[in-house]
Amino acid sequence: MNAGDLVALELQELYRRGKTRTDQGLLKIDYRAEAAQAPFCFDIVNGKLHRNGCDAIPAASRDALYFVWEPGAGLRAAACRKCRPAALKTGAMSRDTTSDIIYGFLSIMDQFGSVLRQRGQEYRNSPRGRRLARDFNQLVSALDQTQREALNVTLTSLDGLVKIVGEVDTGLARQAKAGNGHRTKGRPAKPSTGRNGKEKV
Amino acid sequence: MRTPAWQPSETTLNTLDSLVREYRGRVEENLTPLIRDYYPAMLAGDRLECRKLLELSSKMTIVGLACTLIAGYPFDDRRLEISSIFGACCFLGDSSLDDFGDQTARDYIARYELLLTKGWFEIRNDREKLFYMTLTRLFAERDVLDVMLRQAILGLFLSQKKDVEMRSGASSLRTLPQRSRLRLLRECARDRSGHAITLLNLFLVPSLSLEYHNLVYAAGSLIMHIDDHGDCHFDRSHNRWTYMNQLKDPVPALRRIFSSTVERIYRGLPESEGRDLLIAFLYRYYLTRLRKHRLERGRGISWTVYE
Repeated sequence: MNAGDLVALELQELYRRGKTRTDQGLLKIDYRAEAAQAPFCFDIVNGKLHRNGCDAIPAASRDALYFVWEPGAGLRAAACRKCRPAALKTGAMSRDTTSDIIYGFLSIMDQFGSVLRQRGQEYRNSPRGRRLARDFNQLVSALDQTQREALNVTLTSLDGLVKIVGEVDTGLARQAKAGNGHRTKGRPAKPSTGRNGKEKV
Repeated sequence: MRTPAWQPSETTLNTLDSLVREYRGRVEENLTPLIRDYYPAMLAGDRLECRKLLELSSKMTIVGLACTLIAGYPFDDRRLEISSIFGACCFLGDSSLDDFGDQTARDYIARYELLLTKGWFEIRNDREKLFYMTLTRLFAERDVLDVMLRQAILGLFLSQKKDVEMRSGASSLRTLPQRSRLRLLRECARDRSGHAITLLNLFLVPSLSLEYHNLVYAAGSLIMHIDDHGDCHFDRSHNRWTYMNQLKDPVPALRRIFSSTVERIYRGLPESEGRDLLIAFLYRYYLTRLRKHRLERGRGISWTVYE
């Protein structure tokens, strides 16, 4: 089983066992809240681009509308003659900014830290992990000075991020313990070992 | 009678047939390891369910190939793998909706809705495990938070949900005037397959221009009507209403839908190998499902693999 499949299954296993906080989502595909803010909508049945809310949108197309932030090259050919949508300079839908990504990363560390740690340890000691380490060392030895410096900057940044995440994670755990003593964030109170490679969660 | 301009040439039909044969083998190579890992029972015995899955995936792959060529991109190994997995994912999801009764369908819809809104999915058996793994593999291929892609995923889900609700509430459908009932059934079929083909397209070519999307959507809707006509006797025996099986005279109606849709695709898409391949596929599919309908009317329904 590849690592990606295993993590995907383990995450759902945590949910099945009731070891996740149900108020927290893992991934939200549902776009409906954001869609209300879109400037345009595309009637995919009739191939017409409208302003959001245009009354020329046929009722029969209401389940086949795609909300659009940036119509791109197809705007002119598909534009509704009644509402005459024109390209806007406003930004795209509010999507993942850098801080969103960092918070997303932190939330996953917060909720699934034990699973990630366990997988990291297993992967590091697996033949594949060892092979990766060997290949990585060979790759580094083949780099020139400029490339090595660029790589060092990247690795230092990553190392710094991991340390920050670790500190925040510890801080959150301490606060939670001080709060009511029950919030374990999906982790056992003590690290469990010797369970055939499976974290006790 | 004059031959329509869209009529596929013998050369294109021969190319299509050889591509189908080639891709059937490659799809099997792509999917068998995944099936072996997560739902090995599917590979045991007569493998009927597996063969049906592979057949659907092969068809999806041909549609995916045509759409990729229409957009002007090469259909490389990665796109072939995405199409194969997409077909498997559709087969398994549809089987939860169509093959195990209304209660299973409603239960699956509730759990799948949670997956799309929160990311959690309770896996109950190996079939669902395989479904979930195909889904995660697909989600790993592209940015699933892309504006169009996430809307296509949700659009497909909402049309499936509507289909299941309409099926469960068949008695309330009966109270509607015939014209309204047919309109609802037609729109539901249109959207279920229209969103599905749009989703396949977005997984293969995320940057496809809007002006092509509605023609591809129309092709998807046509596939659903053709499919429903082919499954007419099966659906009726399960008391399941579709637009096609509620029409008094479905064959001429399907002929009209087929001709007008193919004409629209032919006129609307730029001349390309992909356009011709898509039309050739629709033509072949239309003819084989007319034959399936006739066969099952004569000898009764059977759960078999139709190539």
